[in-house]
Amino acid sequence: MNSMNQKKICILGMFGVGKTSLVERFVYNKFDDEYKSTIGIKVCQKLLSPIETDQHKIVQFNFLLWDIEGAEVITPQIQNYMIGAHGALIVSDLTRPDSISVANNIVEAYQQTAPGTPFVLAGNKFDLIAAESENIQQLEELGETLKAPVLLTSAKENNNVEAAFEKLGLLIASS
Amino acid sequence: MNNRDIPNSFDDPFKQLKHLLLTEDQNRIQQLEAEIQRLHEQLNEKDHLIETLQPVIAELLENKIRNSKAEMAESLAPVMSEAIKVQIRDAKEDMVDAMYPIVGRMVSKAVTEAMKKFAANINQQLNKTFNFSRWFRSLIARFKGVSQAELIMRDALPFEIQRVFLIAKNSGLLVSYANREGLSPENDDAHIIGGMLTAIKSFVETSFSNDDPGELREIEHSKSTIRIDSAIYSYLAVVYNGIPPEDFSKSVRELHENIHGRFYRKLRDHDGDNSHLKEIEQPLKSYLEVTQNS
Repeated sequence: MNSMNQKKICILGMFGVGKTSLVERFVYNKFDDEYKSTIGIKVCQKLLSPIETDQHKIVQFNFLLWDIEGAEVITPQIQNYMIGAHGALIVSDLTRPDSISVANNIVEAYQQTAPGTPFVLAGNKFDLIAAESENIQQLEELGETLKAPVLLTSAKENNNVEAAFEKLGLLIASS
Repeated sequence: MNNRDIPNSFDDPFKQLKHLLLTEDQNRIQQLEAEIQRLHEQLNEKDHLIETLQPVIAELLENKIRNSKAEMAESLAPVMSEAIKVQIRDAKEDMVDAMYPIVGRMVSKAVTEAMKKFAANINQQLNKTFNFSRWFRSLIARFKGVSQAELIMRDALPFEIQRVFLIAKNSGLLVSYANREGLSPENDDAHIIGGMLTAIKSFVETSFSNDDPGELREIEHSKSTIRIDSAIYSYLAVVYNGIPPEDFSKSVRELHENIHGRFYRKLRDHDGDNSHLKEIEQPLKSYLEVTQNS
């Protein structure tokens, strides 16, 4: 049995924010313009590059990515999928302010289910908005309130996708 | 033509000469024109064309198939599958009648093959059985109220365990794994299967929790069945083909209880690092081997 360190990572967010696109870009380095709604859940894995922790220890994670269907309201089913998670990427669509408000509710549910585990806020579709957009400000404010890192990503243009997952890996390694 | 046929109106000798020389040709031209007209109608009018081709179409196809079989198969294949579908939809009974001799023969062949294998298994069982075992079996048979033959037949039914997964109950992360081919979990997608299995289990248990609270115990697909045994911190998923022996559930339960009891704390504190749980792999492998040889 390989001794690699596996971590369960939940990818959460409102429907259509680009969760599956981020996972597909990260795992397979591909992007599909056509929107296909995720039904239920899809699990895939990605071996991260080795990470050096604050204690100068080298760790390597195999991320088991649970790409969970999007919803406006967190159902008991979705909350059950979060059980045992080691971290989460909580995704909002920077073109839709409502998805940022929903992200706040998702964080609350996630913290109840997997308390003390880290999460990263990803503002996706960064390529579609102006740098000075109010929506970015709204997400950054949420990050400050929740004390969580915010990364502005674009699955389409492959911006900050790997960085978001690496950041999560670093937080897990130091938690 | 003789002189009596020459019309009286031809007083002019030139006209008479013309008539004598050309009448036959003119008649032939008229006949040919009529013939061309008839052929033109046959070719250009759908009904006529069908009527003309009908007597030769079978022969034409026969020749074409004989001369270029592959080409014909290539052209007809897409139409054939569609035609079969339509025919099955519109004339199911006729299709059943037509297929019956072939399907019947296929089924009969498959059953014969299966029976041969089954008989070979029974022979093997009898050959390797000592007299003491026969005596013991007769005791069990009497105790259970079945014949010895039934017991032997039961033991001879095909059964094979393919994979065994030990999965952390909460996270769905793979703790240990064994398979018949000796593949590593990375080469067998075992981590992803473990995750998906946990997601399916969670979905079923949450969806039906109101009607029937409990845990998912079995998933069946095609020839494979997944038997699931749940404990507090882990669950064991055994993938098998065929009909399991009577004590199969008990053996799965015992294997899991044994592992869970021995590694209770490590399973409770499992955080994805399997390096300190490598010992579990051996009981899983042994279980595969024992069930393979039994």
